[in-house]
Amino acid sequence: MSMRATKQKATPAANTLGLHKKGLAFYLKRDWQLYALMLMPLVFVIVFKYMAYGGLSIAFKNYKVAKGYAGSEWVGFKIFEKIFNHRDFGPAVYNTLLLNILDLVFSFPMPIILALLLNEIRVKWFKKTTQTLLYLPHFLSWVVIGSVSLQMFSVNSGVVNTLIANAGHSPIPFLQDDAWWLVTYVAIGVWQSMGWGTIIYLAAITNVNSELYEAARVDGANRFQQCLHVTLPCIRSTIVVLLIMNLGKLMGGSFERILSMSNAKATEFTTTIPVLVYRWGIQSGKFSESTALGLFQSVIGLALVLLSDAIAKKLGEDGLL
Amino acid sequence: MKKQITKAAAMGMAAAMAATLLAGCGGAASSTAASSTASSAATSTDAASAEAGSYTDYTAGFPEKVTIQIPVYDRGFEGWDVTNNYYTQYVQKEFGDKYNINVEYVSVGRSTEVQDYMQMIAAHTAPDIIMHYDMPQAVNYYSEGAMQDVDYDEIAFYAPSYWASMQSTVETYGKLDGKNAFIFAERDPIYYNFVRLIRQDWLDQVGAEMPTTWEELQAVLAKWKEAGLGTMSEQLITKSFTYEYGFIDAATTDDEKALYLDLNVAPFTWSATENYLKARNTQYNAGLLDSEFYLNTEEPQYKAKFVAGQSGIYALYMSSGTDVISSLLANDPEAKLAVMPASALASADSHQYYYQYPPYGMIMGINADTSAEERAAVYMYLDWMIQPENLFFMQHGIEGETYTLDADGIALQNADYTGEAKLSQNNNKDYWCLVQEIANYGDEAKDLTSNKVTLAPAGYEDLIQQAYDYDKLDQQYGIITPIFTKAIESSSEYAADLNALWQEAYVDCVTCAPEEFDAKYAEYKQEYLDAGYQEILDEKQSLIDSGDVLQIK
Repeated sequence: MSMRATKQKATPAANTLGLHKKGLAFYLKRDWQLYALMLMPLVFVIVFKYMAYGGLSIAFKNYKVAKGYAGSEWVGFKIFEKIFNHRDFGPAVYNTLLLNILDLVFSFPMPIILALLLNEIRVKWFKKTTQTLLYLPHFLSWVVIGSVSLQMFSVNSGVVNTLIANAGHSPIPFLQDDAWWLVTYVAIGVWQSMGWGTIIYLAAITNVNSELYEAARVDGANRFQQCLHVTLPCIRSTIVVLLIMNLGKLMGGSFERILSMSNAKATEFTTTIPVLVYRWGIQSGKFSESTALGLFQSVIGLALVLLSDAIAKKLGEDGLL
Repeated sequence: MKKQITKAAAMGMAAAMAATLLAGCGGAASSTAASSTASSAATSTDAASAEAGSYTDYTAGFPEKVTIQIPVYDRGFEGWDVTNNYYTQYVQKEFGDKYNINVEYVSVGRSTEVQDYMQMIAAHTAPDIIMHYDMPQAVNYYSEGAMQDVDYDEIAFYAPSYWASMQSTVETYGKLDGKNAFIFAERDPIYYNFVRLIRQDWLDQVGAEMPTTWEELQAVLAKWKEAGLGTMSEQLITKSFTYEYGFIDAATTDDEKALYLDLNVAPFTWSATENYLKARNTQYNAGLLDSEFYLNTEEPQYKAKFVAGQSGIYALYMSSGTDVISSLLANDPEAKLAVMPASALASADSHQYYYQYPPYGMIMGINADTSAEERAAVYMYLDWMIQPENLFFMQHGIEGETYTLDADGIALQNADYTGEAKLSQNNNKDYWCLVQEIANYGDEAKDLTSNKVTLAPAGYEDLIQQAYDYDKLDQQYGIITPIFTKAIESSSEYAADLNALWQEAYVDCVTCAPEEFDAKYAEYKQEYLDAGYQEILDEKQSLIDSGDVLQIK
């Protein structure tokens, strides 16, 4: 405290210059509460995101639980050879890509469209109510959504099919037929995520300079044209960042979403990489295979993020990194 | 500039944190290493003492306190602490304190036991006893290196009563690859308490007799359908594969049974499975089977359909605690129940074969990390538990409080008792299942009377009598799965994949149109063989050829 005071007296105008002459200890002491606060997320990330890396070594070992990490023998890329030749590997990669690309095609644009629409609503209470209703599904866990949807779309006793039957049509196997399952899966995904996704776009839209709209109106642009030529270009960088982040998830995807909606009747598309990781690792205790598959998935995911980031930068956007 | 310093500070903090954490980890790792050297040292001293033919006598108590960890199933009943309750405290007081042993109970989820055990084994925190009810999984634990070999002389020394009662069982079934791998609990059942309940009031309503074959059952179901009553429901078959028993060909040889019968891997390519699936397919297409049976992935969903009156047949392990009868009556006060014979699930061409348990109960191995002292204490624990007076106390509690003795010396449970000595599910079975699977008085008539009061809800004792009577009729048809004395490696390799394929294939074969059945079955059969089943069959066949299989009669 006293040091700081003397310094200020000596060169009152050079406060910023004086900063780098102080030691690390000074700042730690002065702002220790802030550092302590920061420690919590830091520890979380280190423990759960970085320390776990050590465990990846079992992807290259014939891991036996009782022998532990150190006691299991190294086998090089044998485990990878084994999983690449596994009969479920090909379908799992295909299904993972299929489900996630469908998700990207349908779930990604929906929040943007919805945000643009919400932005045009002028009645305040209606806008607020709609927004809240749209957010709600985000807070339901997939397990709940999965079991409710199995109840609702049941062929015999489900609400939806009862209505369809009462209208004189034959029931639709929403979750019991492979093709229908895919449709239902994507539709429920859109329903669950679209409301929550609008938040970030609505925030970006508020930042758009209102003078641009005025200028557009002067040029004779109607509401739709304003939306297309002012709002959309202004939130483009936000869209690109989110797109890059979503591309990174192409090889991953939600495990519990598939597991909670899958059933033994419609199995064509439900074997994905995360499901296989669960089946091998948790269900049958083949930890090496499971880890190798997870590692493979992460490497591809990282490559996809880097690639899309590079492309975005080529196209003149800021990118993510 | 400030940003840089902040960054540096953050890095510093992170590094410090990481260092501490890593140090923590290193400590843990080295302590594990230390303990493993300790245990190997213990093993070597033990081997030395075994050669000398003498074991340290601890009947006066251990010089230093020994902690043993005993597994106990946690069935998730509300208000019951499985690791600390009146009975665990009783064991500590009566057994632990006497020998300077600290008895620690470790809860293992009943429905997640394999996952729980695998995680504990990986973390070296598994209890001293590693247990499982079925042989294939016990073999898996052994193959993972989680169990140490046992020394029969040592068991005989520390647990003379246990050894006297279990010696021949352990010596017959406890060997794997020539090593002494497992010890067992006793299983001496007077009948099989897996009971199939059927709606007697529905049978009466359509004027049908109790079905005694699969074909008769279909006729009954058709009448139920006509009368607008329920169907037959099923739980999705995902484990413990015994569905095919009623369709096994009477001329099947022992070798063929050894080849195909397996609780862990469905024998999809076997003729018994084909017959079963075909029968189910016919049933499904006639609208007699719950059309969405494949959504009944959990027991409660299957039970709910019976309780709601959508299905008229429900199978369960009968116990006095079951709520299925009271729930059904709450929905339909007119409901009447009877036991359906096992033969109703067997084709008229076959017999009412059923899965018969082998002559042992719980399969146990000693944790590889367990030291010589801990091992001795574990054997002493088993020996204490198998003493008739201790076993009786654990099974019934305190006389005059939790039970009263009738004229024949049979313990009658006091259902209204709510004090601290209240027993857990099935007469505290999860505590004494390490030495005995079924409580018995050594007298069949007494056991039956006792079963009626302990296994049936009050007023439904007759269901136990019916189950017992049918069981006596069927007794000759029990099949005990042959036991391989060597580990079947391909089985643990492919079981999970085959299980996933089984569910898909079986549901598809049951729900497809009858004319598609043959083509579908043939296609899945090939896929199943390619997915690893052929390798399992080959491995089993070579073990059968080399005589590494025990046929139990």
